[in-house]
Amino acid sequence: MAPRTLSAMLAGALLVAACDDPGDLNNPSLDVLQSNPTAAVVASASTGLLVGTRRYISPRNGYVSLLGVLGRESYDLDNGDPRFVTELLQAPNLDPGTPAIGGNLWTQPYANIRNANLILDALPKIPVATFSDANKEATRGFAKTIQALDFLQVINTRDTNGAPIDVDLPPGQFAPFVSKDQVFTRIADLLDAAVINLGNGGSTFPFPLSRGFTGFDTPPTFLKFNRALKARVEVYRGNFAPALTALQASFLDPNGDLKLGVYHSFSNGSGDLSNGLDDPLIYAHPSIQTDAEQKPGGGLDDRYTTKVTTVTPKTLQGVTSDKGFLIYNTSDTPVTIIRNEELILLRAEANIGLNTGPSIADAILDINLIRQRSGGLAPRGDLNPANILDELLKQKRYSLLFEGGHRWIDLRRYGKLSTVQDPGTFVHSAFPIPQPEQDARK
Amino acid sequence: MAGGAAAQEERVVRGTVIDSVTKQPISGAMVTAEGTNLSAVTGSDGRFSLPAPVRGDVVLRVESPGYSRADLRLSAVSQDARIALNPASLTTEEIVVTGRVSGVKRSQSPIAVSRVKSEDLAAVTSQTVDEALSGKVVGANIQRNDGAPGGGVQIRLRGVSTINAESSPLYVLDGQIVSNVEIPSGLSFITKSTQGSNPSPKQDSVVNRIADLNPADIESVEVLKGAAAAAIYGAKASNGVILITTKRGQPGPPRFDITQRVGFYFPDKELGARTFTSLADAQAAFGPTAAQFWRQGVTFNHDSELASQRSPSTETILSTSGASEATQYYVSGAQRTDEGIIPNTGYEKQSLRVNVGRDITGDWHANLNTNLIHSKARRGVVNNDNANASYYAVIPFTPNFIDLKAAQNGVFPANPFISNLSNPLQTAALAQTDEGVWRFIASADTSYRLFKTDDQDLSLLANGGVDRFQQEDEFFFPSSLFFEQTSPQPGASLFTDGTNLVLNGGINLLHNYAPDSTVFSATSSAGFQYESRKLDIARVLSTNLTGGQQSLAAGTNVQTFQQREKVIDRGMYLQSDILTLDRHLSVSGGLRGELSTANGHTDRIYVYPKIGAAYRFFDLAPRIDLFKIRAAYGETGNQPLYGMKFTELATNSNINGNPALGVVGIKGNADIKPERQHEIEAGFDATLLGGRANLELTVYQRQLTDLILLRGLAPSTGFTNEFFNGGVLRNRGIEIALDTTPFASSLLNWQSRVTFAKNVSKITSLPVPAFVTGGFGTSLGAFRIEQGASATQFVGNDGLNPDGSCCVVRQIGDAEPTFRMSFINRLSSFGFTLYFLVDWQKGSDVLNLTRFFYDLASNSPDFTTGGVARLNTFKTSARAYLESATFVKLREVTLSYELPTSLSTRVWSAMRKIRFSVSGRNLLKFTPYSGFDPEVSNFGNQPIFRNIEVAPYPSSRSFWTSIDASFQ
Repeated sequence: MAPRTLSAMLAGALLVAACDDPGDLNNPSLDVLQSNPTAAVVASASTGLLVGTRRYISPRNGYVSLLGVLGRESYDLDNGDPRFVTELLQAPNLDPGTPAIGGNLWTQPYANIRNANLILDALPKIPVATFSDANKEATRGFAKTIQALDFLQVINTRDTNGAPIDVDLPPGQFAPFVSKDQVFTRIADLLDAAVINLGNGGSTFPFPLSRGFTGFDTPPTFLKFNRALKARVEVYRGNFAPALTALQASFLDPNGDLKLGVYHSFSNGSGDLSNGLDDPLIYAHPSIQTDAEQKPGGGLDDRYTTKVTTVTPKTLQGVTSDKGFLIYNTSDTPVTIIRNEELILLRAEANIGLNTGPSIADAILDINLIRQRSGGLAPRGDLNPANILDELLKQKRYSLLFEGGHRWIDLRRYGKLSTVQDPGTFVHSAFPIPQPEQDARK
Repeated sequence: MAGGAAAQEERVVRGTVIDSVTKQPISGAMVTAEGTNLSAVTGSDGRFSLPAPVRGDVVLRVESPGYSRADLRLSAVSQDARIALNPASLTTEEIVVTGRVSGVKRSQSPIAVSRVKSEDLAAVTSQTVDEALSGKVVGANIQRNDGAPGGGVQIRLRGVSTINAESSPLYVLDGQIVSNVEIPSGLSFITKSTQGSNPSPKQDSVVNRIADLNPADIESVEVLKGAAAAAIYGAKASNGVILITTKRGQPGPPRFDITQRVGFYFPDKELGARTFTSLADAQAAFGPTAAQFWRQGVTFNHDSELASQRSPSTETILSTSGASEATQYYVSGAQRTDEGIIPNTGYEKQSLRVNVGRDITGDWHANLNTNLIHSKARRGVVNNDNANASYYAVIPFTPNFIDLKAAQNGVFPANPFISNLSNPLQTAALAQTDEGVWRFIASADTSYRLFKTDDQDLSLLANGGVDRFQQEDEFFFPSSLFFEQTSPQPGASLFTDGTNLVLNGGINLLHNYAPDSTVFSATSSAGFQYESRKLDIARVLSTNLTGGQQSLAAGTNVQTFQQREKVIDRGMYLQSDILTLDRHLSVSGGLRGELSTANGHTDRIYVYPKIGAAYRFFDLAPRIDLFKIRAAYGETGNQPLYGMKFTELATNSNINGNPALGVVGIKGNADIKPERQHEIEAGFDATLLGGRANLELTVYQRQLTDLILLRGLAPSTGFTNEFFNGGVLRNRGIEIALDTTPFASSLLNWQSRVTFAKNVSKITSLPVPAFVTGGFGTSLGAFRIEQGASATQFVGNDGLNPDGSCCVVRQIGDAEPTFRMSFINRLSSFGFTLYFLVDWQKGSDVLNLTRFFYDLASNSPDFTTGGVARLNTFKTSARAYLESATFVKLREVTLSYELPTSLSTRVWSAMRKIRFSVSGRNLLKFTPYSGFDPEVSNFGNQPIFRNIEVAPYPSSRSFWTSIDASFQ
């Protein structure tokens, strides 16, 4: 029967013919980056690393604000969400189950770490004709540096709780937790590997960086940023000589602009992220004023007067403040990643750590330089190995006030969190591993 | 002796009229010979004899109350006629669908059939077909989401069928799948409803696009409720399938029908506000500002000032249909304009349908059905709101001693009791919420008989169709609106353009084997289908409008949004219906295989089987005419939603305007597959008392496995959640329908239908921890998916913990009704007909957050007695705002009078019928619920989290007078 054969043939045709899958019409999907990466996709993904690394920095429950509360640089007093007081200050332990308070400082860095791994895995697959080897090397150097920054920010929050590092695994497989020291080793290794990549990376990046990288947006200049991060990492690890070596290759300049550096960039443009730290619910800790030094001519430390102002007092759950910050006064103010002022102080810290006669002398010079240039204070002539560490920590506290939890991290590193005066509250030393991470591994 | 001479002889025609089911004679039946004035009435033995002889062929028309009219052509050589009439309350010989192109007689069907005919569907006019079905399908829970005009109705068949996948039934119109998508208008960008604790975008008062169809064009609706019936529709059928057949031309000369209606909508309830008897009370609640407005004894009724529009609504339907020997046609045009009870809201629809069928040759038939529809709905500013824009987000916080009406010059006063001065009467007057739809549906099908013998025939059938619509939402919130003035970007113009295209095509073979012997007969079919659907939603929100202009280019801040989807499905099936054992036993079986691009593996075929059997006992007992027991099993599926298989790199962020990509947390699942439903259904049908009663009882159990769920991943992988298949949800229920004809005489004919349905759901297996879905958190009441509990349980705070801290969280209610009953009655006597439909829902709970707003503002009418107590209870218990949704509603009532044909033809010879009616929809409502209507859903059509009220559009009742006339 002709019609019957025809329908049988049709049957065969319909079944056998591959279903034309329309694919993802809205966004590129992961397959694109994994199986058929193109230069354009990898370039956008690389710029995306800057989006991902800033995402958890600037909101009210972000890196700067939460670590600021823990280090008593700031308070967040919100009647509508008292957890910033009840959980961060008054609870004996930090809650692993609250995703928005601390959990985001795990989830979002790891999402960005995944992005970096995707880029690194995709690079070999792009045809060289569209993306030269130099471009690939430059991208590798960039991705490894940003990934190191994300790991650093993770371990800064989790400290001795450790973190998984070999996370570039197929879905369903978990990387084991490693110790804090091993995480730092990995961070340092990533930064050093990036140096080699950047050296081969030519003179430009094949993708745009943000405004916050002005002056550091070519592989040779970006290298200086990399070395700056390395210096910080080595100081944190207690490897002071390598720290000094790294500082020499960085953009440290004792006479240069203290604000010279690399920043997270924000704006109010459509689709862009704005800086949430200008929120009036964020208050400055009163101790910033009470601990500030007097200038020789009268008045308090310049760093206090330029960064902190008096506002209408507010009390929540027994916590009071009448101070607010001037640092982030608009929603497109950038947030520091690392800058010259910190590098000078890191050099001082490294020299203190080496604890030799000449190194202490160098440290005293750097500390007094900062006191004068940044704080308008008189130099101190009475610094000696016994009191110089506390002086350094104090200078770091005021120089890097509310820029990324420096006070908390620094005091913790030297076991001095107990010196924080805030009666009636608990000063926590680390965030716990988030509940979803623990649950998923059961 | 044969031949021309004998054929022309006159003879007296006589015969017998019997009941087709009981085979008993019918007395009092009227037999008329067409084209003559000869008629006779049957005697008690059912016999009749025409009073005078006739010659040649004669068509006998036989009518009897309680039976369907029958026409019998008696050839010139015959003299004796034997006519069997079908009882009108039963439709035992109607064909019900079992396959894509095949069906069996209802009396043989192994599944419970729900069919709504046009006279019941359109008994009282309704704006949309889904609303017209309310209360008419046993086992279907059909509820409105709010009172806004133009649709917004959800149909759930036999309980909850999914958690995260599609929840709407599949709609098939004249054999073609049509679109039932819902496109959010984007109102949430204005009301900022997504900024609170629930970011669901469906708080926009979304309408399922099946609302566009014109109920007056529909001949019948058949509902396949469970997998046992719907398996042949495969992986789109897990929520049930609704088959709609539109009208066709009937044999005979052309007829013209005209219907003209005029009606009004009225609000059916006012919420009221607290009356303050002293200035001190007013100031205690509303602060010092109250002193400027409060006057002893002076109050304003904001509910009625808002729902103040009373313009008449009209509907006009013109249709013509007819059939000649080879061509049938049905053409209808309809126009409807409804003004809503709130100014600047309403619904209008224009529809043109042309259905043509033609016998091209004796073996080859083709049909073409086309429908062009335009509708415009203005649904107001409603539902959840964080911007003080929705009417009932503002009215609760406004005392009744302030006059919000516009002054003589048309300027509205600011409302100082709201932080951004929002005045709901101004919002109603100035905000424009136009949602316009242009839709074109066309389908063509053809059947070609390949061969035919005495015993069997084989036909080739092919069909194809297209459904394309474009929904345009043009919303304008001018900067003169108070809530816009205080916004950082005053003035908003929102444009959403949603385009949907559904294409269907199929080819089938249909084989009938029906030998004379009744040992065995079978209908078998097989075929292939191709179905594709494409959706493209683009939205532009332009704010900070220059000079108050509506143009999108007038705004300085423009946000854009686009979402696109495309899915292609292919399927094949085999189906066979067998009747054997002397036509006592019918067995039906089928297999459906489907591939879809929505699945992770696009080349994998998912198979959905079904099998069913029914055994009929004839004359089982003296009063039982027919008894059929039936059982069936079937499987259907629910496809993953488009995109669930992709892990997307988000592209909507940038840094300093530089484009960026990155993972965002949700990991797609490349192995995702459809959910699967297994249903066992069993029951019996009994026809009793000489056809005067019909009882149907069905019990069923549905298991939904491979539910699409979201599970948490370790965030160190870079992902936070992943879709996967797992979990089991079970529904069990019972449906009972009793049709009776308590009276069937020439004085009074009364047909009654009583239905009862009950469904209970339970999550029997859940491979992830219990999770909260829907609602606004457990302090207010939310839904939780939890193993061992009902799928629609409300959970919330319910008392303090043993250590005195707040609070224990446990089940406090359930959105599933305890049971539902409906009562449909039709009484006719001497041309008058009274029809009414009463719908009773017992049980079910609703979370009334509008009342919570009133209490928060100390403004509820019963604040001092009830409100204070509720707020106190609320500190530790979410039961404070959980109310029972029990209701009894008089949904539809019509009183009509039809002029006898003899009189109507006297007015105008061509006028066969003229009928005058008055009718009403939702005229009476008895419920303890304190809000507008217990049928409510802030989140629109949702599988799980309905029954939450936040600032809805008020409900209304409508009252109509109509004239229907037919001309031939």
